[in-house]
Amino acid sequence: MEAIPSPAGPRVPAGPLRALLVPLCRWFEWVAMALLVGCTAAIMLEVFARGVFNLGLPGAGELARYAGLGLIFLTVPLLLAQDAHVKVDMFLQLARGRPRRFLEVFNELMTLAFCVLFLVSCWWFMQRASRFSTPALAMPNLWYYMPAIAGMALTTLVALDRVLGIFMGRQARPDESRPC
Amino acid sequence: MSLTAITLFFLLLLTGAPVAIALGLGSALALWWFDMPLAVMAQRIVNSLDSTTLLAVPMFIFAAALFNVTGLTTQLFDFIRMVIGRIRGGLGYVTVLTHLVFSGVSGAALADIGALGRIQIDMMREQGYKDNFSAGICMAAATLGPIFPPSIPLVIFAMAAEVSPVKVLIAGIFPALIIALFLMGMVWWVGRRAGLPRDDISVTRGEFTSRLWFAMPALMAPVVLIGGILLGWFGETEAAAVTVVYALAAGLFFYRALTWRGFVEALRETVRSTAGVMLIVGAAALFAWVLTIDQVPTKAADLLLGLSKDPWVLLVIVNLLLLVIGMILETIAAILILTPIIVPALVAAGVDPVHLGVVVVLNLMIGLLTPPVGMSLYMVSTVSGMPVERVIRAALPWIGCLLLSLAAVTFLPAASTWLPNLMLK
Amino acid sequence: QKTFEFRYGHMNPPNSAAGMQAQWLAEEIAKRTSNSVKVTVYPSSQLGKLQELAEAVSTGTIALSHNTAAGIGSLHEPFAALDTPYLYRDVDHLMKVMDVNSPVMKKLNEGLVKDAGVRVLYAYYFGTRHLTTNKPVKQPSDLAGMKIRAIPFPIYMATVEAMGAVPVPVDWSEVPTALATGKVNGQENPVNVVLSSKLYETQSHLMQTGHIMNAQVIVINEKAWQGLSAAQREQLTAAANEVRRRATEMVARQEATETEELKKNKMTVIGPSDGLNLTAFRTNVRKAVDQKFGAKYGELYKAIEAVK
Ligand code: NA
Ligand code: NA
Repeated sequence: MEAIPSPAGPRVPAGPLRALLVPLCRWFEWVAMALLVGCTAAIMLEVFARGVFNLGLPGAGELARYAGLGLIFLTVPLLLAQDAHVKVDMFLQLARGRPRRFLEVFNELMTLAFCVLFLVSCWWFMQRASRFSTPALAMPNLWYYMPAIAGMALTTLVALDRVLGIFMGRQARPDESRPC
Repeated sequence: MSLTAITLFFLLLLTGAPVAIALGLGSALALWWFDMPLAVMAQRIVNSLDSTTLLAVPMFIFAAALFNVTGLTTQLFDFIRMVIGRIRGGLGYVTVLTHLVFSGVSGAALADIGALGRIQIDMMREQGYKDNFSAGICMAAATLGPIFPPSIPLVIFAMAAEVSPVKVLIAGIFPALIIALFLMGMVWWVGRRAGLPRDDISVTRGEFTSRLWFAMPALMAPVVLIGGILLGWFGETEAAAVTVVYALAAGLFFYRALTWRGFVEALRETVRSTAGVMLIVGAAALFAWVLTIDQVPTKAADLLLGLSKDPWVLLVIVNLLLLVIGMILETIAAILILTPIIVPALVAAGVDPVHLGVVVVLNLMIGLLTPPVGMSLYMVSTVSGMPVERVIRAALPWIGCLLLSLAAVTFLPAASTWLPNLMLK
Repeated sequence: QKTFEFRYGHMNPPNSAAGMQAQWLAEEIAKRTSNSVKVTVYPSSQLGKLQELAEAVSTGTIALSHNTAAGIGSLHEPFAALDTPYLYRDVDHLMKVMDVNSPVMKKLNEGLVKDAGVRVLYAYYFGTRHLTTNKPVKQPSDLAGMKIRAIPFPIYMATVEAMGAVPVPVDWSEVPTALATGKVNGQENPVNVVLSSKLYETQSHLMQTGHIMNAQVIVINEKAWQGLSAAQREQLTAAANEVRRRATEMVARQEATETEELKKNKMTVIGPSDGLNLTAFRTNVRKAVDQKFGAKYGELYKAIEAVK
């Protein structure tokens, strides 16, 4: 089975940091995969505890949601590194030459802007909310948001690398862009 | 602010930026421009994804991936092919029926596509169906999930409208069957016109029994799950995790084909599909927040509902309004925002709120297939690898078919209200 | 005089008591400040979910919201103590404790402002929580082995457990299905929730255990509050007092008629006069609460007890 085919084709700009970032993205993905197992286990634990041992576990539900949330954000950087985010690139495909290059640069910059704004937003939010706690486990908000912050921080680096790559005119070698 | 967000979103979408970025950045820039606290960006994206209901999505995708790597999918395919292969467009009918059965377990359309989409599209590809057809029918049939009980959107409507959730859930049964009939009619029609594939395989009795045996775990899965829900062993979201364990058990003990490698592959595929789609869901929630602050949906509804007092005219207005709103708002957000406005106006005109619930949810399910914010479109693109614009084109004929079913459900209130009124006085 | 536009986001339907009082507040404020402070209400979780709304007031994304005391507890922990079971003598006692000028509330409010930048504007009586199930329950032992849906806050879970049942967390969107299929055998809520969500269709008995008396706490972002002129703050306080009185009266008055309504819908109501052993429930729950939360909230409990 292959990874999700990238709808945008082989256009993967690669910056100077790529050799460092891709393995890091893969590590994040491993954590996400572990979280998926943890999420399943937490839900099943709740089902069994309730059905077999007649026990309600308030923390299990919260842990499952935490894991479910984490696995999303920890996989996002790899998806960007592999150009696998869903997009409508009809017009991009029609464009040729300079307009196309402009669109490509524009898109990479916008992705970078999104990531940076997200991190700034987290920072603003955490000024106040970092100590607030979750209902069941009383987990501090900072921990609860940590997977999202970490995932988006790495995504920011990947986006930055792609912007650098596109300005330096570097294309990823096949071994750099191929997943795993 | 809404106008800015919408304009930026379209602009970014058309330049080929990732959909999640177009939604999220468009909204964030609008917030910034209008001097709103930027903190809401992270808060809304993260919090909207922190949901018990949405956990069903990765769970069902995971279960489907496990079914794939253990070969269960192939076994099921062989069996189905043997039974109905000689009918023209047989797999089309099977897709509708599997979604109908599966809707007895799941309450969310995205989870349905996650669970069944790839299997169905792969099967049809192998048998020579065009991708457009397979993608289209898969999306269209996924609308059945939240219409047939159990259903998260119907319960949320019921709670918001203060009508009986049990009644609204039961009300969905007949409309779901009506939609299924319309979809199968469409398969028949397309089969006639475009010449859908048919097999000419013949099998011996021995082959039949052996294939039935190997397909058994797949065929029994819905029985186990629906039984478990009805017996109160687990709820809707938990059913998804139970499916994962069921798939693991079948792979390990029945097929003995589950390897460590296969397991890791299933995990990897699941996190990738989930992350891609869920980031869009989170960004769509932020986009909805921006529109809500300006009270765009509320004002539009107020304006349109003032146009008439006739129940039928109002129902048509509601359909048009929801089809438009469904293009840009995510389902749950749309229900929560619009229900308090729509319900009093229509109930005053004499519309049964239970009937209205089915109409509202069906509308928003069609909205999952309409661009630009159509989560089913993005989900199918993710699981099939088809470019979004092709998926959109594939959806068009099926949207037409669903609109016909919507008309039937709208103008035959008894189809929704008869059964609940019979069962609950 | 400067003008302000405040957003008030909450999770209830607009026609519920909580939704109506939010609208009243908006109207009272507009009237009393001669429209210099405009409040727009966003009901039905349009702007976010339970805890998210409380956090949004803290970060200033929205100016106003409401939540149960336990919900505010996620911002400033001691608030969770206000949802302790069998804590108040009656509604009047609850409202005296919840008065922003009571010694208890003054101290809690200071902590909330300091910790979260959020201020309690007022609180009103939200209702008294009762138990519903599918069989008659008269004493704690009748609940043995029964699964009762509970909110996953420690104090709520502990209450249901001490009542003799198995507390099981279920997301509110799944509660009707869970009650119908028997995933849980019962739930606990004020009567207005039982009525408006039509829970009488899946539940046959209502036990008037009255285990938790809830106040709905309306909070305002501290920066928004301090930004107002002294005159505007006074006008807002007056508006708050008016809405607090009206909402409490309405909820208290409706509880009786709502219970009658449930009876009309074939629900059997079991109160102390029908053999409900309230003393046993009270004793068991209090003992458990003392063990689990006594060390943490003991001082606060004493202060609440002292409010006359
Ligand atoms: Na369903
Ligand atoms: Na749509």
